[in-house]
Amino acid sequence: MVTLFQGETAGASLVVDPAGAAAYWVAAATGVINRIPLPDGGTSVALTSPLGPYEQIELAAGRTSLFWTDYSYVADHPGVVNELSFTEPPMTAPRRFAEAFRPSRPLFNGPTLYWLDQGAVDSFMRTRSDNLKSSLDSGGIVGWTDAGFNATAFAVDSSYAYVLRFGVSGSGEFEGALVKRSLKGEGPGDVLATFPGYATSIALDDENAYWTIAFPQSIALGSAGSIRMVRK
Amino acid sequence: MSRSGFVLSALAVAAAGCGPGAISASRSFAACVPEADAAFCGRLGKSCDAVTGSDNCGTARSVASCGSCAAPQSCAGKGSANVCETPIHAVTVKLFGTGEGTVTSSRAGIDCAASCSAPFDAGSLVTLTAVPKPSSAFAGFSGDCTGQTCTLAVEGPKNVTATFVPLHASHVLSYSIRGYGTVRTNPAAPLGCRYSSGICHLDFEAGTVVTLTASPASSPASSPDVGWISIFKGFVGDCSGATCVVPMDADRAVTVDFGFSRSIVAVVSGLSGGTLVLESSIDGKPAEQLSVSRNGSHAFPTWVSDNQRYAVTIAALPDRPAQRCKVGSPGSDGTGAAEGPGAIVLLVTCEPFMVAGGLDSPTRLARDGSFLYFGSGQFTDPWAAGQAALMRVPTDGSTPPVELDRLIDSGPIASIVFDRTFVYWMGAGKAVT
Repeated sequence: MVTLFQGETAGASLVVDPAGAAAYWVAAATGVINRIPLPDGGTSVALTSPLGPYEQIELAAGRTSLFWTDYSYVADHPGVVNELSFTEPPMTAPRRFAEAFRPSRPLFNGPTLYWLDQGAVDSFMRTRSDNLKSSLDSGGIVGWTDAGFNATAFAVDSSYAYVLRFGVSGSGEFEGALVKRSLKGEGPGDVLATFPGYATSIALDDENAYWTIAFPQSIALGSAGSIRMVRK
Repeated sequence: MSRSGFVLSALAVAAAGCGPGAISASRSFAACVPEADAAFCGRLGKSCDAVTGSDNCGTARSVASCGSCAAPQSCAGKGSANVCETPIHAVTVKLFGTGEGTVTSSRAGIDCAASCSAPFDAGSLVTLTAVPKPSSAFAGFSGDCTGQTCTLAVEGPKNVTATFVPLHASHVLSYSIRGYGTVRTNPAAPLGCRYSSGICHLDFEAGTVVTLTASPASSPASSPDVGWISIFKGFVGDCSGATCVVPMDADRAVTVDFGFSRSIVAVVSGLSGGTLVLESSIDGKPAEQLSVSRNGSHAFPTWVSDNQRYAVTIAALPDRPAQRCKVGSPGSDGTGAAEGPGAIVLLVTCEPFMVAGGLDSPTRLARDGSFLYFGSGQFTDPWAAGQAALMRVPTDGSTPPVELDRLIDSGPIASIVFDRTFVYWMGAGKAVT
């Protein structure tokens, strides 16, 4: 095990470029994206100028470029998806790849970049209409799929998006669901599972979807989290 | 005629002519016997009193009266007094005919052929019952009774004749039943069934060809609605197999064998969605599959007969959501041998499947091959310092999660990514491989 970097600032997102030349990570407090050479680590170099303490930056590694979503908590700054070639020198201003609204969870599947557009209200917890957008990394939004209410994470395979979402019942308990939706936007979607608790992350293999439930009730603390599985 | 202590001399007396005359008798005896000589003494205008030691018929004495005796009692001398007595009458049965049988009385006494006469109190009712031997028939009573039944009012001595006739050139077909069902014969036996120890004896003329037909019982206790039925298994004895045709050229004995067929019922609980596929096997051969998508009772279409071995296993677990199910309960593993009435009821319990549980706020799930990596730790908010662990668990949950690294004074694991060689993870202020 090698420690690539250690410092006082909190890391928020981490990716490795496909060539394995560098790892990229976000300093959460400032939104600065940093680059660390691989495989041995070393000096972490800032690639971008600080984006501000109110930004939520999440990274995705394309074939030749680094992408990041800028969620933007600032009211008049709805958010963008930015791009930076792995070979470009440090930049002072982000290059906009796509306009977006509260984008998050950027994810590549083959040549396609997906992210969640959140739904235009003041609280993530009260999001009403989330859109799962997709785009070629060569640029241009090519489609979107309705991710449903309160999406927290998603994963994709060649045909479907698997979206974790949660709601809040009258008793104050979280009620989560895993919904399978066509990437072409066809049909209402298929609820693969419902569960009590706050689901936070998801992974796929060829047959199953796996997700984490951080805590089953509204109380976050306690060793009651779990990893669930359902056939896709 | 001579009796002890009493000599009776016979005297020939002839009366001739039509004139007045008299006949006298003289006797000489030591003592009279009241029961025997009362009438004799009475004709002499005397009485016989053995108590007083009178040596002959003495002068009629006056004794205590009985008063009035209720019928059928009558007043009779008893020593020095008169008492009311119930008369006793004999009922006598005579067996007649060349057949064989017995006659018994409802009041103990008569048990022909051992004892064919017995005393009964006057006024009592006595019922006689005639039972022929298998080779005979009872033809009826005659005498003081007529017909097939006989009830006598014993107001005096009774004489009854019971006639038994042989069943000429006949044979007996006897059958017993195992299980639940009925049997009928074609032709029907003229005299019907004579039961003895649960065995039916039917009399048929020699040469009759009798066909037996078995019918399993159908009742609320034995019906498809309750998961089991009675079934006819076959004949055993003088005929065997599914059909029975017997020539009555000799006495025959047949056992009619009924068994059971029952369904296999799976009682499913805990199913929380998806489809559970159960598979049955009978005598080691796969029988059929049963898809179950709700809790409750589910019956396999194929039923199981007596002594067949059955097994129920899980062919496919419900996967939406993933669950684990098992067949059986303490003392039962879903296998056994069918016996007795009643459906075979097996419990199937399901519960949600978790790859891992009991985790501290797992997050940032990422898969690499057949392993899942995730961060774990308890934090009051995303940026609070604490201990964050990088964990790994097989995707099939076959082994518990293991801790790969622990970040001290860190925030939660923020990212887990892979390249072809390494796994990378990051917590607050620390990025490591």
